[in-house]
Amino acid sequence: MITNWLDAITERMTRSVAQRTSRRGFLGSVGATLIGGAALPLLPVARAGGGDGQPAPPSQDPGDPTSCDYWRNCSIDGYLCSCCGGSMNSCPPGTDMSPVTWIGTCRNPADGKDYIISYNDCCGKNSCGACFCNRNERDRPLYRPGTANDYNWCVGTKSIAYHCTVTLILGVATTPS
Amino acid sequence: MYRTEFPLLIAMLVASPFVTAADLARQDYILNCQGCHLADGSGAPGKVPNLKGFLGNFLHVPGGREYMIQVPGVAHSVLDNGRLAAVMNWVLENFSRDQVPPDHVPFNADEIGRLRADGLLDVNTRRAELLATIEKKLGVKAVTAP
Amino acid sequence: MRAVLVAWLGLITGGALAADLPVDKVGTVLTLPQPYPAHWVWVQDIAFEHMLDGKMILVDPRATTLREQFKGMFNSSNIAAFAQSTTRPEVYVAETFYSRGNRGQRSDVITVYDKPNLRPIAEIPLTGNKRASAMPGRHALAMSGDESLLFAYFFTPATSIGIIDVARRALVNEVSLPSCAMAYPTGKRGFSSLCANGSMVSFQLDAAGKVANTKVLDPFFDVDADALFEKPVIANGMGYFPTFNGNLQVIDLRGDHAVLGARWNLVPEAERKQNWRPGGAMLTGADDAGHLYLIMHPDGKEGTHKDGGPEVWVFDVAKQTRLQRITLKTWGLSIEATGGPEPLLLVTNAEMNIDVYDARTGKHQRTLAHFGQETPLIMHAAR
Repeated sequence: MITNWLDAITERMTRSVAQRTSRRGFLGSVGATLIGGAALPLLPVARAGGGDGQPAPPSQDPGDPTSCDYWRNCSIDGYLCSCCGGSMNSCPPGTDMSPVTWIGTCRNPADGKDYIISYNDCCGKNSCGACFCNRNERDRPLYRPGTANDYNWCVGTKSIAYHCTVTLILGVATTPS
Repeated sequence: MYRTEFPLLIAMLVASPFVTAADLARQDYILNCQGCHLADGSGAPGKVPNLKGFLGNFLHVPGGREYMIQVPGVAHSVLDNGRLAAVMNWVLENFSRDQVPPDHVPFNADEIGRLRADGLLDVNTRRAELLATIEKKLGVKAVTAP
Repeated sequence: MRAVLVAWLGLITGGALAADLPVDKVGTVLTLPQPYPAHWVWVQDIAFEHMLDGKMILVDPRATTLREQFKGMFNSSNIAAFAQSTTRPEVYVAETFYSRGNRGQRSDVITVYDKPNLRPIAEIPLTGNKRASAMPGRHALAMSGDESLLFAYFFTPATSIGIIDVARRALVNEVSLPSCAMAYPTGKRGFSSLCANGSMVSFQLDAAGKVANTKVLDPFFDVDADALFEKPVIANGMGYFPTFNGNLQVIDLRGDHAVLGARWNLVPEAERKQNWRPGGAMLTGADDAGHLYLIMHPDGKEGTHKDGGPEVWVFDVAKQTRLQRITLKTWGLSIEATGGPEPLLLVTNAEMNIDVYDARTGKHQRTLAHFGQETPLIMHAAR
């Protein structure tokens, strides 16, 4: 239900600065190095059990992907595919992943690295309706599409019907961008 | 903060044993171009131009070299001239090496700065003209429709 | 006691003592007064959970009962873009349809609805099917200054503006944009767009809808450091663009091309340490006096620009001063001010209801709720 919006905003209003996984707090760190896509270690899928609210076991990809607070969701806008029969990096059955998309960078609290995240939409079916989340770190207006999450990015598929959004890791960022 | 910190940060990183200039160019491609042109440069027929196996063809026709810097997505990029030159060279090397003529001179910051100041307002007309010239001279066609 | 007896007798005898209510005529359909009262508002429900099936709902926010508030509606598909004419009794929605609902053959159209009856009276095909589908704004579909043209924003993801001749009901041209978005009406027959490098480009069109001249306003803002919202208010041809950090950039759009105006800080100096910033979905509004309304939130930082806020600030843009701070009853996401001499401030709140305030006093009057709305994220004062 869209009343998630009220929850999400309330959460943001009360969340303390120290708890925010904002990249701004860590800018200037030169410790991070670039790892190319092929060399990226396979991350264990931090899948929470059926939305029962239990946190995932400690891992390099921590947190609950069905939660708006999940670290990869730092610039997401839409329904979380983990709640829609997909996962944080896979589309639900019968939908098409749009190849064109907006891209952000999010801080992983487990390893302290800034990952480049691609927010591909799954398309061709009506809104999933579960787990709406809108966060806007590094989002910018429509005139800079590459970092604009306000577009319906299902322009790359046969149908622009928007269903949900995944969060694909493209690599680790070296510098603030 | 973004603008003034970058040159120092890049210098430090490029000097480090862990990060190469190619790594940085690739990251710049990912963050600024890949969203539409995709990871392999193939784009979307009729909507996003294909770079893969094609971009270098522009270097064979008059105005083509200038065109690829003056297209809005390049000319209006947030990247500074040096970073933009590096990305363009990286794209040609990684997506279209076979199309680049043997006497090709890589882009540098100065040339980028000059060319992007004269960005194209009507890219579609210019693209169509150049594609027609490329087809006539090289016998290759771009995919322009799905 | 006697009255009760008489009434009882009336019932038993089949109402012989009172005339029957008249029989109703089948087929009566109401029409709307013309012109619409100045304070009416179009509520655009983008139906985020089923976008195919959005709504444009016409409401009277001064009315106190639902019976009087709800005036009529029509459907608008797939985050439609909406525009109104003041010279023709028409409104316009740019929509996207598929032959099988969410799939099949795509067709983008501008549907023309007549103001008195809210019936579709014409359809203008948007050949190429490039209509931008994005969170709603006021300038994805806009009328030219002389209202002879409509401008429709296209996104494939390459961007362009479709030029529509209103009288001919036809798409007559497509103007390619150099990495820019939206169409802010400029002068009589032109538009301006903000661009990815912090510049602005302006186009004037000739009688046939072709580009007559073009001008670029060189980069004047830093998209990373302090981006201009792409959701300005345009009042009397002057564009008022708030920025992420709480400044206001004035851009004169009255002539042939955009001219940069003043830039000033919206937040009084004494309050700046609280990091007040504008934010929301449709965070801007203006009344007929040209006052600017903005949703504001404290503790603003990177990423809060769509959060909405607990207050609406009202500004005299000519004097560059704040006139008042309105404390909202419920957190606000989108606003609009009504037309006419006694404006109301409408606020789509975090519960997806619409709070109505007296714009002059800031006093909350009523909440519009339970009128079939789900995600009424943008409102348009009736024109």
